[in-house]
Amino acid sequence: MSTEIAHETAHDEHHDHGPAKGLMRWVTTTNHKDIGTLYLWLSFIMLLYGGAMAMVIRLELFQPGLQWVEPHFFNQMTTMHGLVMVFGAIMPAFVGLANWLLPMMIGAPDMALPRMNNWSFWILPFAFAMLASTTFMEGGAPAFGWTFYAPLSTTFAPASTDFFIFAVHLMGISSVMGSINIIATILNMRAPGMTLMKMPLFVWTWLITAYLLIAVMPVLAGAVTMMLTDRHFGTSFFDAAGGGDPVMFQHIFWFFGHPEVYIMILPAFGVISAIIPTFARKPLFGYSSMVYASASIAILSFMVWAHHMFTTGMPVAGELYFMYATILISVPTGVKVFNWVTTMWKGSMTFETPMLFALGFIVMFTIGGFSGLMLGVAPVDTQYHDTYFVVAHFHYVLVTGALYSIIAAFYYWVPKWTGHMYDERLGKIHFWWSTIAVNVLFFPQHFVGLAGMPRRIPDYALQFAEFNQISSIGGFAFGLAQVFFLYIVIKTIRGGEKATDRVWEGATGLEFEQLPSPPPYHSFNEPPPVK
Amino acid sequence: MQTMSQQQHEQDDFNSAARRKRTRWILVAHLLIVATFFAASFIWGKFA
Repeated sequence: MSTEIAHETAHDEHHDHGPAKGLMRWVTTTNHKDIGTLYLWLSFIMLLYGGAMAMVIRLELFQPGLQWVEPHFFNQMTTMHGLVMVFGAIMPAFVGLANWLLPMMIGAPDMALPRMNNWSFWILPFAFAMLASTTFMEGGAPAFGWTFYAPLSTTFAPASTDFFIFAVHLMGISSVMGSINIIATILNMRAPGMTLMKMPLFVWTWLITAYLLIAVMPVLAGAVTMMLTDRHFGTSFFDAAGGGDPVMFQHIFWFFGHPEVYIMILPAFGVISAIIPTFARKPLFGYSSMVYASASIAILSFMVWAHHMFTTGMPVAGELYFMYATILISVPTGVKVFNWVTTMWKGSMTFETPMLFALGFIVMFTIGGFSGLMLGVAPVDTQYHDTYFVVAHFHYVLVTGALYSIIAAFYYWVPKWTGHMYDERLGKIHFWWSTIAVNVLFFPQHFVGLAGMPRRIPDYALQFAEFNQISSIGGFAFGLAQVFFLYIVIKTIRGGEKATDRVWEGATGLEFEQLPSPPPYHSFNEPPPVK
Repeated sequence: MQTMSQQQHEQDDFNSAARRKRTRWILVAHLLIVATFFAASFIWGKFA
């Protein structure tokens, strides 16, 4: 096989050119691998930026009372932390993985619309610079929570909110362009023989995610545009005094917001579906059921938004509908978890770092899924709503779910990308350090939440002190673990043991079977054979 | 008159005119979906 690959590489180099030199390579690149790298670095920078704000939050909550920051600044921190992590860290990381992997997985030479690809990336640094700059403006950064409910984000918002609105518009445009690019690539650039039902699960989950994005990002754009016109142009979409309805904002926001949750988790399902079979040395159990489960989750995600709003005063019939529809999502999600477990059943398993993070994902994402079920039950949600239980729930989903899958994906594919193996010992330390810390950080938040501690407050009642202290210690340790991860990333890029072309004994897929490690700058100028 | 192998080559070519045309259609169709959802959010918000 390696002889064939060497031959292919030599053939490619014959009419190939490498990357341009210097900074302009990155500014003007239309290469999917370069743009993937840019996305991944941007998301890492934003992870550290959002993480720094999380450290401020945990520092303030280390003890009851006000110690370090003013309440208004604390609110800015929770708001910006949420926005930066959702739009700046998790989403761009998955787009980065898509850019690097989709063309190689389907046997395409690049993305279908490479110039638009460059554009959709380079919008983002400006959007986030604009968002970050609000911290230094008069009145401070947005402080109304990442859900920016009206009228906090309209009548009572700081002047910097307009910059926030423009930043969200830019992020939306970037996401829509990225999604259309991904759809065009998958639908129109597959190598002959790569039928839809032969595509790797990561490709499938991204195809479905891209459709979610093009459906809901315009709704988010609509919501912030209505905010803008309410603020400056005399409309009253969300102002009851002018005949509008503030609760309508919540409906529109969550029509975007709930599918957004699945935008952040469906590609993670694709990553885990690639890693588990490799290290269990068995094909994925129930491939087609995984595809249908992903599609079912996506469709259902449009029908459950008001479970975030049970306490706004909904008719009982509405509460019942949204409760049952929400609980229904556990069926396709359960199919996925059972399929991963069944893939491992009687497999020849080994536990390299990507597999450890994937297993961590399955166990801890499932914890987040179960607490989500609890929150979806309308009568009890009245107690849990806006407490730290919700914070614990979505951090299990987004940190030990989405972020763990991104880290797993890095360890799994980085030898293919760079041609270097990462340091396995350091990878294992990173896993255990992160996993212990993240549970110390978020598990106690279930208890303080059930006991009644509200979210988004800088001070709390004395009885919550111990659990908050434990949580903060876990937070600092988890933050430090990701600085350690940065060291591992840089070390791996700069050198390390040479990776083989297949990288992992059990790896399958065009990127492992048909391309060398690292792959040439332009791969698959000719369509590869697909079995 | 193209031979079968020429036809196959054209079909496989990532830069063929047919493939580029399909890409354009996919782009336009999905931009229409985006525009529809954007407009629908205002209708839902009840212009007041």
